Amino acid sequence: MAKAPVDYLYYMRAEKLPHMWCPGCGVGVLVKAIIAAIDDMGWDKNDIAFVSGIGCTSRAPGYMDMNTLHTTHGRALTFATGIKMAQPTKHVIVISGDGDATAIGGNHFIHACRRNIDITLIVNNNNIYGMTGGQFSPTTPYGARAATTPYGNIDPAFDLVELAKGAGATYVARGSVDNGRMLQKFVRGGLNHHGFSVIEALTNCHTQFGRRNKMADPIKMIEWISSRVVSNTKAKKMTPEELKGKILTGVMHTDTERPEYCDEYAHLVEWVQSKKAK
Amino acid sequence: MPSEQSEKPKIVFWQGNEVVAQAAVAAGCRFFGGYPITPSSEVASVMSEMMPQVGGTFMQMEDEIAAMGAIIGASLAGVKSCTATSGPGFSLKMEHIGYACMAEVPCVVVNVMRGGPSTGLPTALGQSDVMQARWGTHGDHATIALAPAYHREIYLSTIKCFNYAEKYRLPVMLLIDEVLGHMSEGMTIPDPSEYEIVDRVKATVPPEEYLPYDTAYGDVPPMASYFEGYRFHVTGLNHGANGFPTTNPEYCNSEEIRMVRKVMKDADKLAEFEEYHLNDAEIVIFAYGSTARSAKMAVDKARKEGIRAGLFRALTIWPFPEKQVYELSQRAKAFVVPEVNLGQMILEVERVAKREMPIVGVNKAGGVPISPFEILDKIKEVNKNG
Amino acid sequence: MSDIVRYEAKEKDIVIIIDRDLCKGCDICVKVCKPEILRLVDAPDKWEGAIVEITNPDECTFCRLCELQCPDFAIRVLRKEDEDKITIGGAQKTAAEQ
Ligand SMILES: Cc1ncc(C[n+]2csc(CCOP(=O)(O)OP(=O)(O)O)c2C)c(N)n1
Ligand code: SF4
Ligand code: SF4
Repeated sequence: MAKAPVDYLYYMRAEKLPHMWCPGCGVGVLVKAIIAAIDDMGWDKNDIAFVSGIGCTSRAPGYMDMNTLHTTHGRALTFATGIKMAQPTKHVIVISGDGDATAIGGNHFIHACRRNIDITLIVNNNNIYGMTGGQFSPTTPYGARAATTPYGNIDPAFDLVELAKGAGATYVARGSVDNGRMLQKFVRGGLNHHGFSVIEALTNCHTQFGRRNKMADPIKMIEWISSRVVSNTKAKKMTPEELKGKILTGVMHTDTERPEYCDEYAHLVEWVQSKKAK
Repeated sequence: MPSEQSEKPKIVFWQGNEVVAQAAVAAGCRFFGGYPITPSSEVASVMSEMMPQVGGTFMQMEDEIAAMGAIIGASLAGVKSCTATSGPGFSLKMEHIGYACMAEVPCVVVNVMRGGPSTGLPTALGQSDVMQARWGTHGDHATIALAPAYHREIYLSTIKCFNYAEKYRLPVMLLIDEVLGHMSEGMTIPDPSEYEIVDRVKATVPPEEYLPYDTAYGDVPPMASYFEGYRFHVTGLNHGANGFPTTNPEYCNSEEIRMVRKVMKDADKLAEFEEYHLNDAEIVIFAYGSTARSAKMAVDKARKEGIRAGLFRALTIWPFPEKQVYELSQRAKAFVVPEVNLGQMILEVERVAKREMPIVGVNKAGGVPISPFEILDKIKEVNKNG
Repeated sequence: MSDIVRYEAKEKDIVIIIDRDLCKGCDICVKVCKPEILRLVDAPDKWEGAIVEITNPDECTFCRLCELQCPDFAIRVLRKEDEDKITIGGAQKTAAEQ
């Protein structure tokens, strides 16, 4: 028997809709994929903490009918870490913008990866600071226009997947907004993974990024994203020339060997207490 | 029972920083998030040893901002939490101290004060963060801060900080300093019968009726924890009773007022202080923390020389004990305010003492304590001029 | 009450439901539909003045792309028996109240 369709609104504070995002904004597609992934997991919404920082993306928790926390810019992972360590059997999901996660929150990002704590981080990478009016972020492409790069961006961009891998995340995937099903699959992979998982979603902020880069409407910008991405399976059959300038999508890294942080801490407590009892 | 009576109370010889950690555990703290900084680091060390023993969590975070974020998260998940730091680390925590004020999350911030702005005098004494404790974070807010002077008092004050955090739903500051933090002093561990443990008022209504900032219950709304079925929203934005953002000017204004009022209306209850020879005192020394120890000796010496000096030692420095200081200012001839900074709490004394009178500081910001003689000299000087 | 419109296919076991209070007329669903059975029509009383409608539900292939790619939770593409298994109707508040 086919699985019943996802009841999105069951997981949401439906009375808060319509949401505040611009018409066509990629965050909505991503949130939908996250809900579908949570539904796949069959988790009780009472057992989920949904945490964010500050930004357009970070308004997502307000719409979710869960234990929700809208924290400070860049620092959602720190609050999430406290929640997870206080209640290790519960599920903690963090959603973050690219500026949120990798500029002001860059330090927290790499350290959460390093600890390999069982939290799923979903980064909505729209290549720009959406909420504050389109300033460039650490993922704005070279040469792109932003409110603070009127002559084109000279800052090199982060590759979030490499950053997460290098810092020790044990599940790293990248999807794009033009394929909601794929996003759902990667988020589910992250939720299912025991350890720190990072899912980067390439999405459209046509309002702040697109408008300044000749893609003011959502469809144009989604098409631009589509033209830039190649799945890692397809990439295997492509030549280096064909792959030039392309961004790979797919599950980019998994590691099930590294110990998870809550487990490590629990072992430590057990050991200390058994020693004390003797 | 005779056997218990014959048992001598155990004397421990702890550093002030260890006293803080031991007391935090006694208060029910089960989550500590820290980042090393002198002179507070021993709090974290002791916590790292004790937390696993009591089944709590110790985490050394990547910085002070993270430590502060983590303790807020843990508290929302229902666990009493605290962090400890010093000067520059205290500054880093400020963004999240503001968050805890706005979201009304109970937690305790220990600041073992040192000297100087910036890295300053990491290993030396200062009392230079008393104003930072009050005004360091952004926006309007009330502050509760205790500045104990003796080790046993540090123990009881630490517990009080947790109690106030739980009772009023805000971050509460414990301010000690390098001297107290690193000095070891013999004390008996307070028996649990000597103090009470306060827990936050929990939500009892059914989840569908729960409003996380429902002022119908008074100025401190009952608090649910995450994962209890309440599924509420917490944000640092101004929010309505339901926890969701609002920009309604009247409502935001009334909520800001409530969050200050919830503490300030109890200012008198919160004010704890020691009065030493104040009955007939003409010259009142206002002191707090380790400096109050010197101040007390200075009073004794002044009295020996026939000067009617007395000490008002504030344990609660925020809310400032306005009423008490105002009353003293009606009777006394002068105030002497020794502080290991260039004059911070003296501003409060000046603000509150509502008549023309000499209010003079004894100030040092070089990292060393103020001696009783330095205070005595000032007392004599004021006495002569008065 | 939400402004819901149902488009039931006659020949196929498909029902498409549009929540007109949630649709912001972004045009994404119109572009992803292979059989091109969605279109935007004027709706001056709605968010962006345009709203999606379905021209011929019987041509739907049940790919559900419109549903998956809609950022606004405004379209559901369902089997008829699933219709009462899910929550329909988001906005209980009007745009003005938000
Ligand atoms: C400490 C601090 N600094 C700056 C800001 C202002 N600010 C709000 S959102 C934002 C950037 C948001 O960009 P991003 O994280 O990429 O998320 P998006 O809005 O694109 O989803 C900034 C800089 C803030 N809220 N707090
Ligand atoms: S500004 Fe950009 S990120 Fe923000 S809601 Fe609009 S499209 Fe989305
Ligand atoms: S499900 Fe597919 S075919 Fe049917 S309306 Fe939506 S996009 Fe078109």
